[in-house]
Amino acid sequence: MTCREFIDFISEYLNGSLSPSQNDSFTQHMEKCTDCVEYLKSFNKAIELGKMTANDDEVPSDVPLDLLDAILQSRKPSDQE
Amino acid sequence: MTAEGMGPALTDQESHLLHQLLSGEDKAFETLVKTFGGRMLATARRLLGNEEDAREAVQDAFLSSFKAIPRFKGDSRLSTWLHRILINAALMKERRQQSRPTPVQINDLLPTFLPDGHRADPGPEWRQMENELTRADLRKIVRAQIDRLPAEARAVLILRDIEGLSTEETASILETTPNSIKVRLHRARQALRTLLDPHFRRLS
Ligand SMILES: [Zn+2]
Repeated sequence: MTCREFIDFISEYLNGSLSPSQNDSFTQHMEKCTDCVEYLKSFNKAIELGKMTANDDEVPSDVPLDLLDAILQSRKPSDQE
Repeated sequence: MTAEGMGPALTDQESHLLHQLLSGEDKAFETLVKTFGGRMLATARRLLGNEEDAREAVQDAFLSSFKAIPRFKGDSRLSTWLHRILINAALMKERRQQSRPTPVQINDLLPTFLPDGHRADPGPEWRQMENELTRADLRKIVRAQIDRLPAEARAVLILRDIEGLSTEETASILETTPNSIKVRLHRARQALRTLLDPHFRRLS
């Protein structure tokens, strides 16, 4: 397995969808290539950091009232047709 | 296998609501906005990065959906259908944003390789940023880089990795196949990693 193939397979490796033999080649590559080990680490970290932006959201489960009103109001004109 | 027809049938609650919407009951429109609007607004904020545009996108999306309800076939969940309309409204709005810098091309953000298959610019490893930055600052950096992703890549990354939707639901929302979502997600993750690299690489 080349470094290019290794990087192509990372997402599938992470969600466990590589075949057993692909998985073996993947882990063998890791044993001899520190560049790819570092790439995998930073790739994972990038995913984790992306997720972090969501966890910290103060996501309101409710629509703000003024937005709700604006949406319902703007429906009215088309009712007159 | 296509994205169409994969959505589970409507729940009883959803078909009931749909019925009321079709007969034009005011209360039903209010229920629709109250039920799905919060999540749509959260997604719009992530996609567009500013409150005003996010609210306008949600409003546009609901107006389009009100008009389209008679044509809704119930082949996906109501939430999936609304999310699809929202993403389209948000991407449309983004194209009109004057202030937005020209997005980077996704191909320019993928790793490059030498003819022998090795990575061309392996670069230093990442350092532990948690020790240097507050969570709020870290989040600011990451958000800014997600914002720089090309719109299509950003949408996939937000739906799959940030909102945790399944490959199938994401495919249905973005009107493509699950396989194409897998490919796009992998490319979007690589691109985000590339954009974060200058911020996180160990200083030499
Ligand atoms: Zn390698």
